[in-house]
Amino acid sequence: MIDPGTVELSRLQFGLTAMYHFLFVPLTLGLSLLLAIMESVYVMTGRGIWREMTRFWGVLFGINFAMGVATGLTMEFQFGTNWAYYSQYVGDIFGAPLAIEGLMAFFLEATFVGLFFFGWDKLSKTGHLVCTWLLALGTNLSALWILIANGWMQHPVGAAFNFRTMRMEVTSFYDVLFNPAGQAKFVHTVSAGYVTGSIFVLAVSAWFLLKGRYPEFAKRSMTVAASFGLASALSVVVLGDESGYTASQNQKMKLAAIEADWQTEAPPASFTVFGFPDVPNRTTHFAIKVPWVLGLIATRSTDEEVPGIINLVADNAGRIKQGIIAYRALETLRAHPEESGARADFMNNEPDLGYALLLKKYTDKVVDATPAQIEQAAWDTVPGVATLFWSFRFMVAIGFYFIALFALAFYLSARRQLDRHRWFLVAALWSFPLPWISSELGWFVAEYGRQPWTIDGVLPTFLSASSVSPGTVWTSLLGFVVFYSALAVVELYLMMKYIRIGPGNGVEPVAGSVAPRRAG
Amino acid sequence: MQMRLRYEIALTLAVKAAALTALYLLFFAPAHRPEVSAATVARHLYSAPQQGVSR
Repeated sequence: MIDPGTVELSRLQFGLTAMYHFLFVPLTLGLSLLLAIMESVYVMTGRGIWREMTRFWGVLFGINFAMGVATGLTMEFQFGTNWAYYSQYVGDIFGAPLAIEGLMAFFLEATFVGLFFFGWDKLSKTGHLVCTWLLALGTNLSALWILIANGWMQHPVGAAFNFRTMRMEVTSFYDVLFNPAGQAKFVHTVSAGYVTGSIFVLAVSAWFLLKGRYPEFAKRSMTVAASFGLASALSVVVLGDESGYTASQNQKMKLAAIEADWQTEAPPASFTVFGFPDVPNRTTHFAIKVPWVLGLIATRSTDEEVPGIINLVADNAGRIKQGIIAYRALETLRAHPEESGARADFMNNEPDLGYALLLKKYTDKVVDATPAQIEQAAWDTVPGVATLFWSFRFMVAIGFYFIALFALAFYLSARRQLDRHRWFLVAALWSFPLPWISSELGWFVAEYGRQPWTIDGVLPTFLSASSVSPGTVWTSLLGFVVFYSALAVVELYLMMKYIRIGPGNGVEPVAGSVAPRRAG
Repeated sequence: MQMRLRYEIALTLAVKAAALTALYLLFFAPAHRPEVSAATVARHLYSAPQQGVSR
């Protein structure tokens, strides 16, 4: 077995690069659509200020796009090197959406980002608008294919294990494509990106208003951000509920860990708003519960149970025992592929084969595992309860704060009072980092909650990693940290520089002024 | 876009491409990848001797 230290190091490297990469992605998703909306208003009304808005926010989009482009490549580097067993085992399925993302969505996005920036004076108004919408479509399609791949890791459908090739193979690409876990993650993630774009526009516009600069430009930008952001923030909650529902169907343990739900309650289950999960004693102290809510969210019914962690561990011990039957049959089949009894045993128990692999942490002789080893492996299926519990609650709290902030901005915009309340502008400005924090927490909940699996129920994480030297992983990790930190610093520097310069020709720098400020 | 910004972005992209290439060549090029096949997966995941593996 691979050294556990190397596995943890490879996980740290992948987790860090994914989280660094996702600093750039949500703003690209959100701003691309906001640009398309602003330019549409320009084309429909012919008013120059909307063109300047599109151009100014487009410059900031361009900086973020340039810094973020290709930063996801580093994760693909790691698949082949640090996660070679994973890549061999599931590469046939996992690789397809990634390849389609590169060939279709990324090139669409990359082509139209060029036309967006360099086509202002070369294309007709409508032609340029079409390019902007196609740019937004490309960024969203890119997210779609990545999340189809990730959704398959959460809920592996449309694939089966082939004992002859020792790998998972696609049985239905349709099922992979329309995997409910992937679709729910896609809409939830892109909505979170739209919120990020809206908060970005809201916060920068609030800064302009606090400084008394470009008031008309800033108020219009805030109005777009408030209305689009409110719709997006509401969507994030509704579509997050869909993600929760799919988890309750396919990743019951993840849901139970997020809720620190130790015992199965009589339906409908209550929702724990607050509490202190105590993992060693398998209980939650000072729990404040709201009756019915979890049952309604997770099952959409009043009579279905939401299983607790202890009950799920018992179920998983049963699945490990079934998996041992599949494992034994597989050993026979590899020696005698036509042996009909082994084939029947394998086919009947193949869905639980991955559970038997959890025993490899404790014994090389999986078929001779002791009850104590089975018990240990069953408890390994519980991810970090306290970490998930708190990460999820912080994410949700920030999500509801966004709804309140956008609703207030929308109300003030409707009453033409966006620049009247300094406290509101300060709140909007200081909200700037929150969408990044909540997005990272969301990814953390999704991926840490999937543990101990790389592919849920199919392949344990500790068997997915390659035997690479810890020194190599440390050095490359250091290289990634320097690389991404430098990009983040350059991004912040360029963003602040071009925000300070402000929008371009034709935009009044202060109320009542006519002197244009050159930029953009 | 301003000429200054074009220059800054082009420079950043060039440095980024060079850094990514260096990281790839130093740590992730094919020479650094473990050889993994059906047989090695079988050895890694399943302890039984290698028989009947078709690739």
